[in-house]
Amino acid sequence: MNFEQTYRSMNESIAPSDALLADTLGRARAGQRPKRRLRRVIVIAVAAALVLGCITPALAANVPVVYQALYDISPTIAQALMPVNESCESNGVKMEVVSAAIDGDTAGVYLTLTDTSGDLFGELAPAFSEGWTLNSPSSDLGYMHTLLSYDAATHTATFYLELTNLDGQAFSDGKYTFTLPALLIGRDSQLDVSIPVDLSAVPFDPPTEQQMCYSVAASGDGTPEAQQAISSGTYDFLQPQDALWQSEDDVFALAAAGYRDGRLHLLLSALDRKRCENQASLFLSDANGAPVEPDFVATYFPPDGTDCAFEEWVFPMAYDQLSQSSLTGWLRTSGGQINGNWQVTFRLENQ
Amino acid sequence: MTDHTPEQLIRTYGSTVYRLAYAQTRSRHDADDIFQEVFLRVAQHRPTFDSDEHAKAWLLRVTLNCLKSHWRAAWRRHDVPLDERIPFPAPEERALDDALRQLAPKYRAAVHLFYYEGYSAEEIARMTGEKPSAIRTRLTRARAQLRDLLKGESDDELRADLPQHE
Repeated sequence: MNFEQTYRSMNESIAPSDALLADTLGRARAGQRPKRRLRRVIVIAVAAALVLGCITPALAANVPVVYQALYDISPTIAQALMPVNESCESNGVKMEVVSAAIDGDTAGVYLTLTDTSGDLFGELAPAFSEGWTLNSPSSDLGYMHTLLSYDAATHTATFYLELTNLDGQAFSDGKYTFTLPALLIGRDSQLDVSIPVDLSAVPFDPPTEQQMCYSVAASGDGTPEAQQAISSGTYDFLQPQDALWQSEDDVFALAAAGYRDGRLHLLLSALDRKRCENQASLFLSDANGAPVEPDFVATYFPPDGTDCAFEEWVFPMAYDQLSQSSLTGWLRTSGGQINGNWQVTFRLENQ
Repeated sequence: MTDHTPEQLIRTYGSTVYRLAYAQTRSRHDADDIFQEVFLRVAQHRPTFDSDEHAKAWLLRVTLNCLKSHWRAAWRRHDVPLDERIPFPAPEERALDDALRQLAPKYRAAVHLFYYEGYSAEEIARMTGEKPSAIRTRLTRARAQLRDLLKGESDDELRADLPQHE
């Protein structure tokens, strides 16, 4: 027996059942929580709160929920959190780093953002813009963040952020500076937005124009076309035409569609992509409703500097199946960006 | 940043998470529970990642954390009923499955992450929060146990030193 080969072939047949997938997706959409041994988590949360003594009055009633959320995401960090309680204020927003921890190659920061003017955040929680940093010994970093709670009455949002040194370098004891250069306000997300475009009329070999790629995202190693775009930095994008579809707020549009190289090409435009991080994802389903994953997505910005991203989504689908396919979108927008000088320095030690 | 809906994460990484959960529990019922726990946590907290690589490593770490909680529960069965096992038609696979059931659970996870997912001992150590030397020892012992359990099944792989994909 070849152990590795046999082990691999065994695992190829191991997958979640359709019933489990459907049940999990249903529970996820309904916002159901996983089964938990709740008593143990609350004990940890209350004990941690007593030891840390750092929970602001706005969060006091929410402590078990917030710590339970942290424990769900990162139990090791949740148990290692040390109080920081350092804050700063800039442009009407107060940032408080409530607690933080380092654990080997991972650092976790638990912080709040409060709209001190009461006019900025509104009913929607703010969101992090790209560019937040925590000084790290590594240049190969993985970033993760999640909103734990938002209290619209006090305009206070609580976040957990995590930084991982993907090369395994450990965070050492010492001083750390957390920097946040910008926030997004009025972040909104719309799932399952219908894009009623007649794909049966998509033209063959549509007109294209070469542009410099801002990014190319491919699944796996990517198709030869994607690899070529990645290595050359350029791609022959569809030329924008009259919009085939526009979102209600006119932020997004389907600017062109075409069929070439045995694939469906869709050009999606997004206004204020850089300023507001407006972004959309396209979901194509076949005649049976099964999702069709894109081969790759290439993005460019017009050379004249206009803040409008053009993304070409490339889907593998036979032309005669297009008429029975359907298209939906996941649209994320924000009302704007607030730049600020939020920076907090504190000391951390490995536990 | 890489934005994914929970549905996208389940479609992209569902099998990866499930295989790790089954690798350690060797029970469909328990693997189902772990799978659901991992992805409902994701749906609950909607983390945003900067890369697909990071998202996968993070999901595997969350799976390992859920597996730790699973094994601490005092009421867990030690024997898995036959109808909760995945049947493997090939005789070699059945023999290997029987052998894997006799390994300690923590050995099974290390074997899976090393031989199937292709992570190095260093990377596995980071995911599990243990020392690389502990992971290497675990892999060496697992291979020795499997060699004994699979007596009569010739396998140079199990006799040789750990392959160097570190």
